[in-house]
Amino acid sequence: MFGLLSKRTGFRAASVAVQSVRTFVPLKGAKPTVFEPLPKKRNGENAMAYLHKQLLKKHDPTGQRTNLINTLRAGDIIRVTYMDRSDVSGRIIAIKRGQYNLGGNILIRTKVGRIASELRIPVFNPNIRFIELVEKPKQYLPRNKHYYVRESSNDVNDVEAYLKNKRSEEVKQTQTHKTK
Amino acid sequence: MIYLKSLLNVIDNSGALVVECIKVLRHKPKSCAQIGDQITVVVKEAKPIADGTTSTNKVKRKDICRAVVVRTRSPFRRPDGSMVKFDDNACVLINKNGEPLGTRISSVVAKELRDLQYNKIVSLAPKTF
Repeated sequence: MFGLLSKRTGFRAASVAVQSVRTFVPLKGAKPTVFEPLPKKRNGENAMAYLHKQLLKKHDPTGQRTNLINTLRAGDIIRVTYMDRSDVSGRIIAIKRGQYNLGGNILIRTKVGRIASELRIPVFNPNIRFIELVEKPKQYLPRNKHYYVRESSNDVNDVEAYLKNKRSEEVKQTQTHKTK
Repeated sequence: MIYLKSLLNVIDNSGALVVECIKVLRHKPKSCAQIGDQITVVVKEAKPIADGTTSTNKVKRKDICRAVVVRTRSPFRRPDGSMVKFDDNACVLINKNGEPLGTRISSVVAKELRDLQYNKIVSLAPKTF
């Protein structure tokens, strides 16, 4: 009994010793050739990040649209003019900002007649000539995304008509100044 | 997404006010009508005919007619990646040749109708979006 126990403990001690020491097994035959590791592609940058950077460089070389999407805020009134000179204006409800990619888009809402319409515009669309900030509100509504204004008391009015009225009033004011 | 039992506003002066979809035409079963699709509808609510005046109503309650969807609440995608969404479902009543029954359209319609050869509807509408 005692001998068996001692044998067991001895075996255990031996097994621990084997684990801690690496054994060397001589290879039979020719040794494999070991090459130097290849240089990393794109300086080790992630493939998707690299791709998006390239795309941004191609579609937004001046960084203007990126700047715009980062500075605009829900509540601002913008006008988007397309390459065929047609334009839409509306109040921003939400902005989806991508992280250094072309996925950013702006959701604008306006009333055409009495019917509210929404349009989600991809900012880096090459068919867009320019996006301009027309008006900032005096006081912004809370939250980053104004989905709650839909059909509420804070809802958007006819933005196009509002801008038209504003412009005509401005013209009137300048005329009265001139006559004075 | 217009399908069986969907209620739509009618935005022309044919006399109907609210219609109910009973069939989406030329679609596989279980698919929905989008903007520009034709549907068969039942008139659920029509303009009341005042006594003594000749009514201009072309349809009355319980009539079955064809319509084309011009606005949907569910967002739909344009080829350039933008998404458009309106605040109500609306249609315009048409005959079997695709010409509108009414002579006026009261509110905005989607731009896509022009590409789908509904030029009459687009030209009658005060605005497209």
